[in-house]
Amino acid sequence: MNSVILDLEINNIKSVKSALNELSSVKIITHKNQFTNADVIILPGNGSFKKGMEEIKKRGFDEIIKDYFDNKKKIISICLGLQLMMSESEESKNISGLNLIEGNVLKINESSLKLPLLGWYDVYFKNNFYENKSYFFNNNYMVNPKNKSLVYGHFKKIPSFLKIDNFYGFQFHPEKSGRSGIELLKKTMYEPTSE
Amino acid sequence: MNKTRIIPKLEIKNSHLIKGLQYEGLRKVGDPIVFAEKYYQGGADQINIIDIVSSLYSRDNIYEIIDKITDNIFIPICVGGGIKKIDHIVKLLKTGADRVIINSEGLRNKSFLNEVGNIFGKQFLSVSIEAKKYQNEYYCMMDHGRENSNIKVKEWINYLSKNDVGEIIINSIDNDGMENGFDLSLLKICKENLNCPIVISGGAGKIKHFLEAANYNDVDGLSASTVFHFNKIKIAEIKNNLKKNKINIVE
Repeated sequence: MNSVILDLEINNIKSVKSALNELSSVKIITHKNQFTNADVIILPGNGSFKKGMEEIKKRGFDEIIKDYFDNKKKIISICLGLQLMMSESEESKNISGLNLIEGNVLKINESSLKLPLLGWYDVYFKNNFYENKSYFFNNNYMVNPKNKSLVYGHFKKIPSFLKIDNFYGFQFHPEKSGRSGIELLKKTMYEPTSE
Repeated sequence: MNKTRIIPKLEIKNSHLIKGLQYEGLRKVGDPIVFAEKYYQGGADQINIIDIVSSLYSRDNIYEIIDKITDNIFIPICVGGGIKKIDHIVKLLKTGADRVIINSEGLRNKSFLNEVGNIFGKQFLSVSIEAKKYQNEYYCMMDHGRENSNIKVKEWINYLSKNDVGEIIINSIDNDGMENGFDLSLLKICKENLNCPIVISGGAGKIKHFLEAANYNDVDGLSASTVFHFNKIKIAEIKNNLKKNKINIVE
């Protein structure tokens, strides 16, 4: 199995790479012209929505992501990487997202939570996709997909894990959530692709 | 609701893990990579790493250390010490740091904090406060306690409360290494003003000290070094005690 990490050079990709090294051969690219076909592409993320979109476009990654998404090839996206899949975000008004998943990105509004959401929180998975455990979050914003059935894991009302065909999106950081996070990442890597 | 994080703090000087008393009399403890690995295996929820001399010397040591640590450790690694440029942060990210911890440069140049937030997101920035008491007033110290900014902790907290930052780490220099407990009055100053996560650091010596601070409503992280470096307390013992006392922890 081989994977390609799309590096926006504004976030920590080292940990994702270390985590994936155990599972597959990993290539990191900073521009689409370095792209070679892969079983899975990884879009990690941290940073602002605006900066993220700028970097994606500058590097031509939008074309790769769209191709993988439209053709139901495997994508794993993390945190901002997930948010960028949506059409827009409250974080950066007037900036269009990749617009591959219908819905937007909202500022988290849960009175019992401090912002940023920073720390470990319990995620509940649908259809026993994975063990309910605590995972590491670090974000102010959350995705709000129009189609709620895409949400396969949540913490309170915060969609934490999305699955669409062979697209997997984490709002938390599996690569920073200890052993159970790595196991979850492994599961999504090895999950058979559906047609 | 929030799970209280246990955060070992590693201070590094020229590739060595060091520890002092009140930021002075530093002695070598060992290899930071070995200690970080031990804390990961032992149940740490995050590791904070501060290069205490990188503002004076080359930064290359710290990049190398973080790069090695993040080969095998899959919890958040937050790194600080002498960060003055965006370029420093980009390099730290490449070596596997998840968040940066900024103290001195934020006090010297407030706009740097905004710049970092705008590029990397506010949640990416932890502001460290190194508090030292002079005549009943806490001041923010810079350069690992070597210089007084003459800015009162109260004033700085007040400023930070109006400028979103990801997290505040409040360190007591007076209690550092003394093992007499955290300075809870610092938590009180934070709590009156802040709405972001707060980590208290400096002074833990016994298991009960962690509970005392955790019981202080709204603290998000408990950071310590001496008790961990010298094998006085295990992370699991702290977590068991917190759990027994109904504090929400990461299991």
